[in-house]
Amino acid sequence: MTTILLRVLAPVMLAALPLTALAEDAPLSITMDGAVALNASILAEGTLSEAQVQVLKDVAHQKAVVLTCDGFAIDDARFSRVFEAAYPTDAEFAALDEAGQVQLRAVMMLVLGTFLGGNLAIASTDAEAWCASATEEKAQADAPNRVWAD
Amino acid sequence: MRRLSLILATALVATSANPPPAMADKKSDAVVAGAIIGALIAGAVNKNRTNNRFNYATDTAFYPVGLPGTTCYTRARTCYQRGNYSAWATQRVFG
Repeated sequence: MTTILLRVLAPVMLAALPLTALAEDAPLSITMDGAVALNASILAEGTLSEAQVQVLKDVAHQKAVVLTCDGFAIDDARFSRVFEAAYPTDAEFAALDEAGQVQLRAVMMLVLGTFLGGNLAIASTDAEAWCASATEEKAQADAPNRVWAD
Repeated sequence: MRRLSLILATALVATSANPPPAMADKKSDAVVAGAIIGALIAGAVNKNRTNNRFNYATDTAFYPVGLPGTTCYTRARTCYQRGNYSAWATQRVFG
C-alpha cells in the first residue's frame, strides 16, 4: 500500500517542489545585476540598512526603465512617499552630527546612482527584452516601492 | 540638510524637482561632503571582496511554482523574470 501511494504521489510531490540548480550559467543581465548590487551594498555598509538599500534599488530600477522604455513615467507623489519612508525621520536625522548627515546623504546618492547607472547599463544589453519585462512588472499593481505612474 | 537630501534624490529620480533653497548648503558642507564621498569611493575600491551574497556563480537558483519565467537565488534573496530584476517576484517569494 505504501509503495503504491509513493508511486502515485511522487510525481505530484516533485511537481510541487521548485527546481533548483547552481547558477553558474546565469545570463549576463543577472550577473551584471549581481555586480551592481554587490557594489551598492559595499557602499552602503555601515550607513544604510538592507531595507533602505532595497528601496533605492527598486526606485533606481524604475527610473532606469523610465529613461529607457516608452510608456513609463515617475509619479512624483508616489516617489515622495516611497523615498520618505526609507529616509530617517527629522528627529533621527537631527540626532546625527554634521559629518553623519553628510555621510548619510552622500551614501544615499552614491547607492542610488550606482543602481541607476547599473540598471541603464543592463538595459543597454537588450533594451527590448528589458522593457518587455518592465511592462510585465508594471502590470503587478501590488509591487513594492512602486513609483511609476499608472 | 535633510530637506536638501530629499531634494537631491528627487532631482535624480523624479520627473520634476523643486530648486534647492539658497541657504541649503555652505562651502564647509561641500568640503566635508567631498572628503566623505572621496573616502567612500576610495574605501570601496580597496575593500576586500569577501561579500559573496550577490555572486550568482556560486548561488543556488530555483524556479518557484506558479511564477513561470521566474528565477530566484537563495543567498541573494532576489528574483528575476525572464532574466530581468523583478521587485514584485522578489517580494512575493522572499517577503
